[in-house]
Amino acid sequence: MKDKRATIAIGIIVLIVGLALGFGGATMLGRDRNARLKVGDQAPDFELYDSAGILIALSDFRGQKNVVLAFYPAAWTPV
Amino acid sequence: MLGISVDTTFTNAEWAKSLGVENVPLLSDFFPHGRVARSYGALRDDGYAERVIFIIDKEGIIRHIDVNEIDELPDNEVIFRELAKLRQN
Repeated sequence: MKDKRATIAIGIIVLIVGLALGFGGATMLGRDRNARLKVGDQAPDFELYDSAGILIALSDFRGQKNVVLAFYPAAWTPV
Repeated sequence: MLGISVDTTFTNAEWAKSLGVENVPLLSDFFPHGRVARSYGALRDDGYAERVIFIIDKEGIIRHIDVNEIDELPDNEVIFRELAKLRQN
């Protein structure tokens, strides 16, 4: 009977530690996915549609033009 | 000059029209949501993009990063100055 209780207690502890590690790991992964870039780094290439439905890639400008890439929170707010 | 946000192409189209923006493509990073913003470290926890400007040279190298508070406007002079430096090189 005691053994059974001990087994259950250990099981619960393992479960809690596992969950904590899982959440921690997920949070860290989330952070890693939001990359940190610095001056001198290669800009990640992308392909996105503009408001006219034209597909634009950063690599379209390679060897042609410097690019000012302006991220903004949301349309309909002051730029 | 490229604008980029997590809005839909339709929202950006209407917004560009209302602002009279014609020469600046507004790119939609809507689906998968904020993927490009994330690859630039510009996606906030609330799902919106930060207000940040990257100056990227012809070889695809980042030459300047200008981070602004969400309620602050970027200083255009800084951007113009950095671009002028690039042209000299």
